[in-house]
Amino acid sequence: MVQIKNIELIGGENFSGRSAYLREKNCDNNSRKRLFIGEIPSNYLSGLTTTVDNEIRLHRANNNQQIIVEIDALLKKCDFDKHLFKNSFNLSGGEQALLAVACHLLIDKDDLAIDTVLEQLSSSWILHLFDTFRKLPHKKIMISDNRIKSYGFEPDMILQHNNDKPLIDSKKFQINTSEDINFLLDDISFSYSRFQNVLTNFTYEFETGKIYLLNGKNGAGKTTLAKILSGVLKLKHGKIYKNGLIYVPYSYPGKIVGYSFQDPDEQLFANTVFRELNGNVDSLKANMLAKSFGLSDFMEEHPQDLPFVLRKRLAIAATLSIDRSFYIFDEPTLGQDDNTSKELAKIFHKLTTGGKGVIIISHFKEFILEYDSIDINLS
Amino acid sequence: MNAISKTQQNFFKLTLIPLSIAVNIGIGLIVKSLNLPIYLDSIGTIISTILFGWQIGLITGVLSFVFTTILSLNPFAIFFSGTQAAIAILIYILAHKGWFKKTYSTIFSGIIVGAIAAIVSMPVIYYLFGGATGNGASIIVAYFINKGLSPVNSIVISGFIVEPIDKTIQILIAIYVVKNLPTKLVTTISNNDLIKRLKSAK
Amino acid sequence: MKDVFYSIHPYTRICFLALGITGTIFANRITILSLYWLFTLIPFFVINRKLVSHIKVLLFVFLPIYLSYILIYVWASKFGFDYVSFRVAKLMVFATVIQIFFSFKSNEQIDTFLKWKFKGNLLLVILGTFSVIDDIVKQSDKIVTARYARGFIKDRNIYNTIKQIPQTLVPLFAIAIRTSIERSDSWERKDMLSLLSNWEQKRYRTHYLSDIWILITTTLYLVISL
Repeated sequence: MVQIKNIELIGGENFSGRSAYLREKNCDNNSRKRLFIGEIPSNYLSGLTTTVDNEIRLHRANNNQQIIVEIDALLKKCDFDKHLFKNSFNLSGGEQALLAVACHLLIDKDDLAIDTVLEQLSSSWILHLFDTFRKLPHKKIMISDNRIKSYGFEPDMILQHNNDKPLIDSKKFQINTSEDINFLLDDISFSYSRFQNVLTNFTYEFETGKIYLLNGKNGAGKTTLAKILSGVLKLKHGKIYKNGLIYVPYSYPGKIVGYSFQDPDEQLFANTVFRELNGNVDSLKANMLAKSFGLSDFMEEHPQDLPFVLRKRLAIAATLSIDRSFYIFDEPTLGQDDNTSKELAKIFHKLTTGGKGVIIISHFKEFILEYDSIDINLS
Repeated sequence: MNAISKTQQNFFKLTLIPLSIAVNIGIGLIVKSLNLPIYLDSIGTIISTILFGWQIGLITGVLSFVFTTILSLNPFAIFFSGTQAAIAILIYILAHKGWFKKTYSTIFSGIIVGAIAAIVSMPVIYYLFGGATGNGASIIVAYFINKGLSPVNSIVISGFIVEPIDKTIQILIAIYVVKNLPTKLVTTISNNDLIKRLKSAK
Repeated sequence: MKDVFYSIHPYTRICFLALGITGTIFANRITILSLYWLFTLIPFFVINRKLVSHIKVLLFVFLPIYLSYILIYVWASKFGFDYVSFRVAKLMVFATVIQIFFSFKSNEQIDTFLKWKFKGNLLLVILGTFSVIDDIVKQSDKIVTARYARGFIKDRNIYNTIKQIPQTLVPLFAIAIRTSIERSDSWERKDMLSLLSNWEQKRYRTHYLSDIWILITTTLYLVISL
């Protein structure tokens, strides 16, 4: 087990009060509040600069040389040079998370709390980041993260909270069996501009009844593939066959493939949880989903009023509320604790036994290891 | 978050205004690209006025139009920013008089806001463009001039035809959005009860 | 970190705006307007690789305006094409001067506005708007994508696009408000005002030749117009 002196790891389940603890914690030597980074990294960027370069310049305004050198080295290791003149809001979630942490380290204030956001970093970036923490011993960093154990770190303190928690329960999840479908992607390519292909000559066959794990670096085309399958993007080169017949998902957006994004906030539209779960049409199913995802107590709440953990669960449940043959989940375990992630894995497995196909996009596959899954590496 | 400091309240306004400006510009852009005789470029102004008061609404509206020019989207938008100030103040008054609680009074207030917007923007359209603004409204202006009306009258009449429809649609959309927003989130920092009153209306 | 390279020096910008606007107000012949457009305004767009955005403005803003001028002044009021072309040319140069005055490269806004002595709340709001526009555009794009992915939009047409506006705005405003709550908290913890006041201005590097060319030709333009 690795321990780093200036890092304090806070463990505990969802709703154990970790976020509130980190938010309210003051600096060690005075009563000012410590720096804080929460679940949504873009909200912790300054919102005043248009390039990554200027974002870094703004935060290093008053600091010493050693920190600047270390942060420069960190960003170089994570290959950030190519992003310097991009708008920070156009980076991916993981890149924004790294930028936010790097900028907060540059500030002349030593106490920093990081809540959940590190989950969006790939494991190699996590190790680079912890290396940097180790080289800056005067920084006092508190971290709460559900995946931290899988990187070989042990929490220093576990928060416990005995109140009723909205628990996810896979036993209550039911699924109607449906017929088998297969999708053959034949030599598909996709590009957003003329100069750079995101997907090149990709051929693959997806079948219902299986779990697929989509891997690959940022920009390897995971999201693009998901968008093509769900019919959001128009395929430019190549063909897709459904059960051997040519099929154009773009003509039927969201009909056969359901797609749940990484960020829940962008896909919640209704004004109550009940309606978000399609309860107006099928209230039995909505109640079943609410029970299995631990949302029963919040049926009349506004989806955007829920905490992040529940918004994420609701987004997944809402995608499941409409019957499809395939479901794509982008980082489904974001913000969810160990238990919840395992229950999610069970639900995904149940989906496959009911004849659905499940495609998971994630840096973190430990939660699903119990079940057979097929790795697809896009690179 | 329980106690919210004065500094954070001030920063909240300063971080919210740019976001509502961006929303305002975004909707205006979509509509402009379709070249319709309506504008729908004040929805952000109306929503932020109802939610956070006339000062924030006014700054949002005026700066949206300044930025539409700065970002090379429409070089003349900046000259119409006065109209946005008038809209923000008017919406604030109407909202507090309770005019948005019922659909018919909402439509009526859309007509009033539209008429005032037409009068306020008339001088700019006349002196800067001579009536030819390049959107659907100029066809109406041309029609009336051809029928023998003076340019000033034609501009005012075309404004009276286009603006009330446009502003009524915008207010109806804005009220729909406000009624469907998460109450707890909206009242985290600004403790205005208007959203609660609107929601309880229907 | 590299030195900041300005497309136009902040002070040149101000002079250019004042001289250019006054010149355009007094310009009384279409030849003067065209020459100024051809030799000062167009080269600026070419040097700064912004010709495309200028052409877009010409096509989508001035072509409709020109057409509506023909409609109102030639069809409805019996003026000649000369008159119409002159008025549109004047409007076009006027607007282009404003467009150039406001054209910033993405990394020169902070330095330019600081050089213009902007400060306090106004500075924060201006810089903030430049910064978050991309964020909101990206978010609204994702929200519309999500509506497709959830199967709420069956057909892709203009009518359906417009019908999406109210539903798209609800999550967009919720996101904006949540962002403001969290960002304002973060600004307080970071002490954003002191970070901004400690911003170190870099040495100015500009295209001297283009700055001088802009100033000389614009002055000349003003003198001839008067």
